Amino acid sequence: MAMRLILPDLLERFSHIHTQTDRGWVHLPEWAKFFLEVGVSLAHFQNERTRYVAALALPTRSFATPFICSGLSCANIFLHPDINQQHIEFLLSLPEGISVKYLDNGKLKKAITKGVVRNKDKTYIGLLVEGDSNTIKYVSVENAHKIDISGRDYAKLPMHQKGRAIRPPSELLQELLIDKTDEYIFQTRIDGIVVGSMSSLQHDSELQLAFNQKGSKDPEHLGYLSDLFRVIGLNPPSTGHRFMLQSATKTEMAVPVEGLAHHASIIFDGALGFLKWKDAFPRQNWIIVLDRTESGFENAVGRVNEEYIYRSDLETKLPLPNIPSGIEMMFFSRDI
Amino acid sequence: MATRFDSVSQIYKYSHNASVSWRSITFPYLQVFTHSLQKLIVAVGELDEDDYWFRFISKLRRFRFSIVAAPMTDTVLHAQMQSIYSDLASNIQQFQISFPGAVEQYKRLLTSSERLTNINLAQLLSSLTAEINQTKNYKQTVVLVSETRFVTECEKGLLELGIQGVEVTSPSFLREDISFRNMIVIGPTRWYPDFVFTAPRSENILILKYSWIRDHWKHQNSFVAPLKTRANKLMQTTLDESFEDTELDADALLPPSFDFQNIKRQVAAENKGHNDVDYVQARPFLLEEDWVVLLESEDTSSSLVIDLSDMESPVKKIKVNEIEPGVYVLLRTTGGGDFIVPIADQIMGKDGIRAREYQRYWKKMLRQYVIEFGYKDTVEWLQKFGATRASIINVRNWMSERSIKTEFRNDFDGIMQLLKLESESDLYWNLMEQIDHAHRKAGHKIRQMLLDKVKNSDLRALKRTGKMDFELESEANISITAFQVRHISPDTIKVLPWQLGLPLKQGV
Repeated sequence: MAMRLILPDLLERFSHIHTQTDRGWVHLPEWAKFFLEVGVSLAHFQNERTRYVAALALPTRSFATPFICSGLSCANIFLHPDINQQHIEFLLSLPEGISVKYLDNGKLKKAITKGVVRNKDKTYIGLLVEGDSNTIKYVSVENAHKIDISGRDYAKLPMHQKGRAIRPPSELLQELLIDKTDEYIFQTRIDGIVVGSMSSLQHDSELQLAFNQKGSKDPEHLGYLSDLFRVIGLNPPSTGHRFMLQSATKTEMAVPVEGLAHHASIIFDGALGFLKWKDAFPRQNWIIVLDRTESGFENAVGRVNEEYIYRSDLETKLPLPNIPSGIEMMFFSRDI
Repeated sequence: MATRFDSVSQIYKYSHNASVSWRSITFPYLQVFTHSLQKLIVAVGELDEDDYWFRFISKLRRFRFSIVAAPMTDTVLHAQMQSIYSDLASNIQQFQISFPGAVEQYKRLLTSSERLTNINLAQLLSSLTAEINQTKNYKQTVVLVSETRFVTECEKGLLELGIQGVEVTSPSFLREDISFRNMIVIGPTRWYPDFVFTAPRSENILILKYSWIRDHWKHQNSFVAPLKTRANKLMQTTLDESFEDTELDADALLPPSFDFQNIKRQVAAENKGHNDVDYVQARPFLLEEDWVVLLESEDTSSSLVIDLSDMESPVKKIKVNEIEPGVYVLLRTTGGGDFIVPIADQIMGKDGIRAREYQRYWKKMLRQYVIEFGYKDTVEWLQKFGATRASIINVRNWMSERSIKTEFRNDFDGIMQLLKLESESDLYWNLMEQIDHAHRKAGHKIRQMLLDKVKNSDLRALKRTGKMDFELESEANISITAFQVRHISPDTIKVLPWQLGLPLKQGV
């Protein structure tokens, strides 16, 4: 069964991403674009009966996972609006008195839910917002992405607080995701778990990028790879994230696996994490990023090849881009 | 200046463009020597590892590998050759008794060795120098040797012949996001991990090797059913040298691989005469330059390491069971294996002497109790005396010289009661707190000193050679070395506490 890419606009916008090199601002090289496109392609895989396994053998692991995850998340936000619907339904189901975070004109405020009202076919979520605790603000469900559950209990809301200005969405992100930017940057939705090293992923995420459609020398729409690759702990805590992180070396599981959505992917950033943690995620999609220079490479490849033996009979072909030299990739699915 | 992203782009570019070529060097006298040794090995057959001749032949094999794999100066090689020849000459009579059927091969080896003591042996270095001189922009060239221990000698050799600015390194350095215009690889491809050629860090790779060492190269996919990829030059290159009588397979020349059994025997020999409770479980780690260290393998045991991926805070404490090959462990290389204790003692001053005496005393008493009554009774009685966390594992930990006190006071009071020291429980507890405080302060101080040192050091040298010394200036007695871990023993062994953390040189 061959799938068809349904996000040509997103791919077109990705083609305008630039990065700064010793030769100035240039288009992303072929290998980086490939990883973004792999992420977009994998987001198209939707099958209730199978999960996918995408394994890559690379000459270096640097930047691969952040770009793949960026492509995956950016595509997911367009491909799976039902997830947003789930978020709306979740907010509508909340009882009164639940502590939430509310993004009000670029400022993050503490709020408490005050029920749901319907007026002329429109539904509103009532919020008691800090700094204005005498009046209830009714937020339309179209703006539900501006509300998220808070980890803290706001038993009492301060009377005179102005809220905290959160970092405005990057211009890069606005050019890439247009009307989905606020939702992407503010609302947490888990696309997957990265099993790897926080410090090396953080290092990669600091890469400066720009959106440059006109080909000018000095791109205006700047941002960072971390704007796209949103991992808990790597982005400001007031903003949302798309991935959780499990340290490859730790012996304890640090992320909640139960309740992961069916479309969620586990990205094993390196052989060590794959060999150590693969059995903890038997029902999720796997993206295995292997570096040929790693000491565990051969062993990890052996395990991937073993997985292939048990592949599903349902043949799935993804619309993957041309694979650049030096990259080896295998893709198959397994029955759940 | 190139960014890290540029470096990664360069690696992908070389993955597409890299090409490999071979250059062979002839050296008939050395060829005869390597063949003679091979024939002797075959004639002698399998040997037990405890056998004198096993160690004798291992030494010959190690030397043979060095002379065909390391571009060293004639002075260095001659000194080694002379030693080998002397060994062969002085052992001939003993050998005749042990292996009468292999005397012919032994004599041939002796003759070929003698011949090598009289001629220039640095043919590999001369050929390497000639290749470098022919290379445009030779400062963008890296020389790759198969083992880290060859790096320094090769660098010295090149300097002696007037070659400056050429980097010499071993394969593990090529795990970094670095690249070079040219790479000269010493020895056949078989001696190197696959990634040197499947993830090339250079556009032009030249294999420089002796003519009689057979090499073979063919690209192979890693995955069983890979998707179609764009072909590169290396995928289209094949080499399959003919196997004639005069040629030796690359594998046959490799030195004997490291065997953890040897270190186990060595440790066991030093350990006789102790009671079972004195031992701790440890895991042997093989480090660069054939050093071995034993690290405690309890779940809670930790070790200081350098994490090169986090240059903001490169010195980290991680659990021993989280150490992987490639990690750089920090070990004390002067004095004992522990570097916290001497600094903690300095912090405590004279008061520390008394505290240490009390520490040793209650631990000794507890150990004696366990020896006399066993773990089961000890745990039962401790629990009766209010030590609610008493268990075999905890009692082992409390007895250990490497722990100071229990975490909770009620457990400590239980121990004091068991040892009939309850009237002095407060005194003991306060002294142990004093030691504990000093240890924490010492740990922080050492970590800070190391951080300063590591941040101000050229860590490229550590990556290239897999080993680096850090002298902690303000503490003249303490020198700490970072060693890269090469292999980890799958098994643990019983050792005495003083044997932990002490690097032991192997394979000489």
